[in-house]
Amino acid sequence: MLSASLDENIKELEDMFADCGDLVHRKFPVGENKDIWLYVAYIDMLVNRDTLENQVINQLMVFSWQTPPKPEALSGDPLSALIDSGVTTADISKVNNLQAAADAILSGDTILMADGSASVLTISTKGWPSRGISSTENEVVVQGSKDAFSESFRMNTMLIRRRIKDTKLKCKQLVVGERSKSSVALMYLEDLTRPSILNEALRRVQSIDIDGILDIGYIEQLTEDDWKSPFPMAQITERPDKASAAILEGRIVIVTDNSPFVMIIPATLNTFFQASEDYYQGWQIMSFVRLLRFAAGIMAVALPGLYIAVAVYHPSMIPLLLLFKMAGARQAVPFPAVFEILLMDLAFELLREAGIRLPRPVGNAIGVVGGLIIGQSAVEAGLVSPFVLIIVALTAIAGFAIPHIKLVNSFRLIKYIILCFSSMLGLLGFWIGTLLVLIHLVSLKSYGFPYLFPFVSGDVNGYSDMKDTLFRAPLFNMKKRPIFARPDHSERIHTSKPNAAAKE
Amino acid sequence: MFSLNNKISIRQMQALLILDIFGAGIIMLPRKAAEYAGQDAWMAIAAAAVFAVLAVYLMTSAARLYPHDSFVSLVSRLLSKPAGKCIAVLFTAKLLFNCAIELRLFGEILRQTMLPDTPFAVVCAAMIAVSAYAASKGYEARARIAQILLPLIFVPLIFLFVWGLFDVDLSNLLPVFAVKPDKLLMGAARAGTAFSGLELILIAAPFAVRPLAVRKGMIQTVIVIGAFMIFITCVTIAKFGPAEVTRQLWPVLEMMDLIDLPRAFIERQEALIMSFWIISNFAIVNSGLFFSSILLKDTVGKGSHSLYIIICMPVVFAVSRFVLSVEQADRIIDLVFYTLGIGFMIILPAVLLAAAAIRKAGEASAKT
Repeated sequence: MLSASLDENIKELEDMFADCGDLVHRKFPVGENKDIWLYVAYIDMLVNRDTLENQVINQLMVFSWQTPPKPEALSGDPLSALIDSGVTTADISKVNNLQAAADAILSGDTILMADGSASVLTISTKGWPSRGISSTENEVVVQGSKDAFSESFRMNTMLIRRRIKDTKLKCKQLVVGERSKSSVALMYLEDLTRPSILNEALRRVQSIDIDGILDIGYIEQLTEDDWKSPFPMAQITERPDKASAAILEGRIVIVTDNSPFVMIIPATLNTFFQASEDYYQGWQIMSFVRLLRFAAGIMAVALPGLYIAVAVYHPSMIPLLLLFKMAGARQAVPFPAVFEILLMDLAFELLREAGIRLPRPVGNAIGVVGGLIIGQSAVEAGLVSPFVLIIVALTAIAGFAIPHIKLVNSFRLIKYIILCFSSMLGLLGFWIGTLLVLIHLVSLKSYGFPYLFPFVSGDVNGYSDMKDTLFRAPLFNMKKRPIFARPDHSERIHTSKPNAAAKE
Repeated sequence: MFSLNNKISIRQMQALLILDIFGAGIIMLPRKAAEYAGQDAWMAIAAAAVFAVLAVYLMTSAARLYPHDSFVSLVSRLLSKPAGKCIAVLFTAKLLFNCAIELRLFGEILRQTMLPDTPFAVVCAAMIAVSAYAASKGYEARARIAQILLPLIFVPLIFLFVWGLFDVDLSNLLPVFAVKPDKLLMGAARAGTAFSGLELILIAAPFAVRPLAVRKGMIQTVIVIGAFMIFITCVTIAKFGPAEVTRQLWPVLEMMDLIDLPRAFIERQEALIMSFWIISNFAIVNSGLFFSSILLKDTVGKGSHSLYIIICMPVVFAVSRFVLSVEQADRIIDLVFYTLGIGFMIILPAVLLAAAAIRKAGEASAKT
């Protein structure tokens, strides 16, 4: 609790911030006779200096001298009197303990204390330097908005709010992290989100007990349905349009401080194959692209295993001419085929990792050097056959065609399981590996939704979700929202076929 | 929305039943039906399908007496607890035995076509392990697997057989209606073995979200399966002729291998066909392990079904090792079907219905 003595309060606060060189504080008198002592404190660079100096300090020092508050007003709580005459910002609040005041300072607010007042005024002056709204780096599209989320929490919520101008868009804010005190917001449309999912999401976020949240990945991992699964259980995106589209589908977007990514829940495997651009261009080309992505997904997981199963165990499946070529190419290779695949695949993984860590221009060079020179040299040295090189390259390219990196990461791991079984039991092993993955997938649920929905249990929603899976139906035909939305608000498009009215 | 208590929709139940039935019986079906009915084998299968529909009617009628009761509970209510437990144990034995035989046949086919050097024990252990993993995930997960696997098996198979139609001699199916009624019945009895697995409806019915809709759904399924069986039998007989079909051990497999797909990418489709075979065998073994574990759990009255799956695994493995040859396995499948299969499909439901009538039992009676 605070005392009415300003000096006591200052001492206690400064003890809390001992050795914190970034704390800026000042005690100063205001009023006609300089008889009211005030104290302001904030963290350097966390506040907007313009706001602080123009709306607070200047007001207090100059205007309170020019038009001093009446003595009877000051006889009560002087802070209350100053609020009306000395502070011109709207976003203020009063707190009654120093810990809350300290938390406000650390969040970028400025505190104002007055002698004779047992409360602290927190003034919202947040305004740290940020890189602003930059363009997307990981989810680039040809057609569609270019802006991306940034590390600024409020800017991120604003980017969503700007797209959905509806009072039913709620932004439930929480503070998570004992020390980081990170702001976390659950954004959703009140009338679309199923209450059970919202309650469950809130419960999971509120149950996080950790010292600090440094990225949305912390929340993702601490709230996921099955921690043992390599498959992502929530979508992560840097695109505000994708997040807004998810909210319009009745899903929940979780935004956190200091993360340029937001999290979308619930998620099914199908949603990881969807990109925002899918809905901005015609259904014909986007259906083709979608189909291509699913094929790429299968290739990214299964191609190396299938190659081993067929080439080593069942070469009779391969057309004779191709078989001769493959045998000729492998003639000089001293290693078993599975070793060849592993060698090249791990070399590729190494290149990928090195490419990420290095500065971008050098990273690109590494890709070229690795892909072309090492690959060709390995073939010429007889370490691997050109067919293996093609298989590994195709697998890698297939991975890049999938719009969600977390899904690609899980595929990168899963392919080794299938490869392992295929190398032991041929086609039988390939299927055993595939079945194991499938069994795992069907047993996964994201906030109660089967992970493979709508490929399984699609009848629950009358198979309408199938319109946005392997193919993307024309927009006017996707009248219903996906299963995530409340059933009583499932209609979303009321426009019928374009030109239908004109023809009538 | 989505159940969390092992309840599945009728659609899912249909997918599961199709996969459960689509086993070794299908690839031998044209031979068995043609042995007595010759070129009219399709009529024998149609007759078998009619019997299968009647069996479904009987089983679902029995299950409707107490639609939310498990199989063990239903039998115990109507025939006493000891009888319920004895019948459940017998049913479990039948399921595990079927699993073992199917595995044996699968291993044998695999040895002949794909993995000549791999020991049967390895193949068997791998299949049991992956099937047990699926069974341990529960009925809902199994149903979802079936929904994914069903198109994977049937779409290519239908495509393959439709393609096969271009290279058949339809005169092999003529003259029609030439079979005598007694031979037709014998053929139907032989073809009936392909419907082995239908008895699972008795155990599966209470798992349905709408137990009263099970009958309609299952009858539809039997009709679809019957039509599919007739289709592949007609194509196989039209290709080889009835006499040649009766001489082949696996006529459907032979047929699939002879279908001349455009060889743009795949030289031989044998391995492709085996892929379908692997999936169907997986479905049968995991269903056997799952239902056995459910029956054992209900009989003992404690423990999780996963525990009983672990107990069943070595049993299936051991029994599959005892069967010596494909012919022996074939004979055993027939024997088990004509005794326990018919017993569970027709006799037991009839006894349950009679007991319910005598004791005026059943939820419908209780309400009135």
